[in-house]
Amino acid sequence: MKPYLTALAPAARLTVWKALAIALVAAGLSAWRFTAALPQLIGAGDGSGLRELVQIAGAHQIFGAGLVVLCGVLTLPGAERGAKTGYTLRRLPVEERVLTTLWGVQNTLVLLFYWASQIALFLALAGWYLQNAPADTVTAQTLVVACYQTDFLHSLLPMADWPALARNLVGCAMLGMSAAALPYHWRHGRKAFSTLPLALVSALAFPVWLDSLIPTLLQLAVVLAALLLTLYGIWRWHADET
Amino acid sequence: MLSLYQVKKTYLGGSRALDTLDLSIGPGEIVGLFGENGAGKTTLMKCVLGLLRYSGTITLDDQPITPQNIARLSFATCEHSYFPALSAAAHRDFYRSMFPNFREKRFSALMEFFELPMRKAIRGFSTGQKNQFEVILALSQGADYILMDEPFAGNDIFNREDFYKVLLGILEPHETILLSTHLVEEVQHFIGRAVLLHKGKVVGDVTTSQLEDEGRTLMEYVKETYRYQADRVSRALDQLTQEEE
Repeated sequence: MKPYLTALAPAARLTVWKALAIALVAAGLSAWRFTAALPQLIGAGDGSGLRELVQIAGAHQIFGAGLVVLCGVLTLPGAERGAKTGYTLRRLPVEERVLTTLWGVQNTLVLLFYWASQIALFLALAGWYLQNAPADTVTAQTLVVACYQTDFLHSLLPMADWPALARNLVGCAMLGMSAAALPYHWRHGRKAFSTLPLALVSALAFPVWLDSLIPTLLQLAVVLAALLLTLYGIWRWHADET
Repeated sequence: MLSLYQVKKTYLGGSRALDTLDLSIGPGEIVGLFGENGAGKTTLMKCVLGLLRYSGTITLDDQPITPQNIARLSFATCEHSYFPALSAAAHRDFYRSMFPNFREKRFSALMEFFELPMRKAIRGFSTGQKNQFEVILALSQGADYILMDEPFAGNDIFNREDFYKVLLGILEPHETILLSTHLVEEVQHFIGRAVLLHKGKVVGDVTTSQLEDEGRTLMEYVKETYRYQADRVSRALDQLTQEEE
């Protein structure tokens, strides 16, 4: 296992700081939009102020843009830009398919980090909102109510909604694996382009309502199928192989 | 021993790059691989490294080349195979972890000799420095067989001369070099054997000591093997001149 982890080190080295920067920029933008809109909406009862803040701040759009950029960044270390890095990757004393799969797992962890950073951000912003809102307009349940009533917040933190939670987890795995598979295919001279369209669709379709069980299950089935197809694409025998 | 037996490679579209090629290269040899553009030099190296699909047999000490023994081969290419965004120091750490026989002392000595920066991303190097770094990595990997595909394209003559001298000075007796180049005259005193390819076949294979015994230069042998017609240019020019008149 050690050679594989070592082989992943350059990718991790080239990705982690960029992922952190994207998460920080997305957090900074969201916080800036949130604080700019805060004075207008503070004081609305039953968490509606918080719901509207999330919408006005464009939290979903910023999250989605960050996700697409992050997926692009994840594909770069394996791609051959300025040098045929694939010549080195393909002659390491490791099995390239295993390496690519583990690379996908590494990408998945980066995407999970991005998701967690967004959760942390909105919990912090919500806490700030609750502190600043007049005491008679908020309750201990305001945040929970906002998470149930706002599709984006609900998808970000799908409490007690296991299909949405499973969709998010499988979605991260699917995008992470796709970002590893794409440069793998490029290194072998194959045409592949799946990651960015998948990231775009994932970003657009991210918000789901609490009671939308069937659409959420359908999305889960689609991302699961995409993950399995991506893995099949990595592991199946290709005509150009020795 | 690196052995190629009946190796064939046909690209999509039908062009045959290697045609039932047989070749053996033993430990400690310094072999120059020559041939016109499209003769199959790069394809041969890529097949050895498993970067291209081929038919036939390629073995390293009678074993097929797999992830288990591929670390015994290293590769320096004019296309470059390093990570452009990483520094030399990061490459050193990566190679040290990946290749147990990594020659750290050689790496440091060569980096110092060529005055290459350790902390700068390789994409910021000049073309000559990139070539030098590519070759330094291949020489430092700790491989028994070092494959070089026109590694000095873009380097000046003094730089190349330095490299040949350094190579001869640092190589250990068991280290083997397969050097693909067009610079026949320049490498003739550096190599011990010349292999000539033409249309994917070995058309010449000679040691430099054989040539010395016969009183011939490598260039003469190359021209003779390829049936180079020295008067071809003058005949063509004469013909053109006559047509214009």
